[in-house]
Amino acid sequence: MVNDELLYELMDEISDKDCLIIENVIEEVAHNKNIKKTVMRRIYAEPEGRKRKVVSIKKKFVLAVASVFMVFGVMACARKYDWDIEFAQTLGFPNAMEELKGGYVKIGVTDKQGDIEITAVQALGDKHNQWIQFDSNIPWEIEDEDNEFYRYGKYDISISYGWESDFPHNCNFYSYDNNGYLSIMMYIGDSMKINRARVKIMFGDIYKYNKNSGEKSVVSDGTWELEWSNYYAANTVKKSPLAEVGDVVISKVELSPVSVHINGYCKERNAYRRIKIDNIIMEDGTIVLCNGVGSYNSNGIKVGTDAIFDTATGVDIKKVKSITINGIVIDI
Amino acid sequence: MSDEKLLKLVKHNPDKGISEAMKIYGKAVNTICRSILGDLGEEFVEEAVSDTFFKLWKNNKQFVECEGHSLKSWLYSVARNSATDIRRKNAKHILSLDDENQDELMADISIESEVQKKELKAILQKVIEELGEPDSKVFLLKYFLCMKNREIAAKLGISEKKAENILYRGKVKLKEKLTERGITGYGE
Repeated sequence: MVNDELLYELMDEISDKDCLIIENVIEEVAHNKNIKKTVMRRIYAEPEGRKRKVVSIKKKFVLAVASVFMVFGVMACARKYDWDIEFAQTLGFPNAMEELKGGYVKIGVTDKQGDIEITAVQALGDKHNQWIQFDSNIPWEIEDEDNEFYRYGKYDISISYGWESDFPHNCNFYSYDNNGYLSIMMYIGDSMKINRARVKIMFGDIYKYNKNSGEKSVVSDGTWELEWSNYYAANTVKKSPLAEVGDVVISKVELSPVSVHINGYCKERNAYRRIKIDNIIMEDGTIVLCNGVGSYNSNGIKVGTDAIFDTATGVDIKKVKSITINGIVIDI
Repeated sequence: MSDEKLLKLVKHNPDKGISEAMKIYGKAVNTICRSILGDLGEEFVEEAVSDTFFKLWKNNKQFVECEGHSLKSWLYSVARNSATDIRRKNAKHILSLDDENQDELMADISIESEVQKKELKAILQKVIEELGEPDSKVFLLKYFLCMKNREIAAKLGISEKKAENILYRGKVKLKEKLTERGITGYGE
């Protein structure tokens, strides 16, 4: 008779037909779920298994999102201000504020009192400073350009960022003739982060003023309130000239179309120091005067110095040749 | 899922492929391994099951599809052999320890070559086919799943004595076939 061990050895494989017999005696015993983990551990322990490991679609998606955030995180660190706009643009979302010629952004908010209409038309700015143009349908009726101008009797401004808000200390209005009608250019400086702020401006009692005679002629006693949300890029470029002005090391110059920010570090005092910014000089030799104001860094703590350019139009920051700080010209 | 697709999935995405294979064949593989190793303990059964699916990933090139032999039959064979290997390492005998077989287990046999083994396999397959139902089932449960006679009887709803007789008849017939072909030395 054939012994059993031989039969055990010979019957080490079966056919599909035999499989059906096996399947008829299958026990409904659920196998331990850890078995699969054991199998996968063994597979991934193999060099070939590591190569074969395929990242699931879900993991790919998570990695892709993480990569996007990492890229924009780097951009955020590098540019400090505009990663959210870059991100929104990459995802195909349009900017909240339409970009206009000359780097301006469109506001387009109007308030009408009686027959007089005032519109916040456009703005040019960076993170801390902004110029806002208001147009009106008030005819420009200034006869003595040197001594007469328009003013307001009532004024209020509110700049808020979610739960926070600030009141900028450097605000100025300038009236000018815009094709026969009164326009106002408002300069806001030294704000914490105006390019991401909700801005609310109220002014009323517009009158014409003659500084020689002190005469006031009321144009309108109405009150206009204009409110909008800013959402535009900081528009800054950073330069690192590492020049010395006296005992202050100028480690950073940050230019925008409306202002310049410098970081001046005083070694002796071991601290940042405010320093006078005189002007910037353009490639074509044009000198743009600067009006020094305070400065904020990203945490809202004053570091360095900000200055707003004294010009009717924005500056092309790519064409700035040098900056004059405390009388010393530094190429940038 | 076709065998080809499953093998591709196992190759390119082992995590998903093994999950799918376990879903399709897990219960049968578990039954085979439990049948051979159940008396040694659950950890041995789990080791054999994991061995089987690991080999599905590692050694699937050994699988050659041909008529009557699909991936399923290959995988079940892998499960059976993984379990018997573990049993060899951890127990004295790979087979069920029915008392009546003790003497036969002590027989000294060997297969000299793979060619000879193939020849013997073919003869055995033919004999089992000729036995017909339920004898062929008894042989399969006995020598592929290494079941004890009483387990076979219980599974097939026959008496243990009948199972023994079927096995005896089959072995006699096999010996006759082997003798007809001039193959001797595999018996008592």
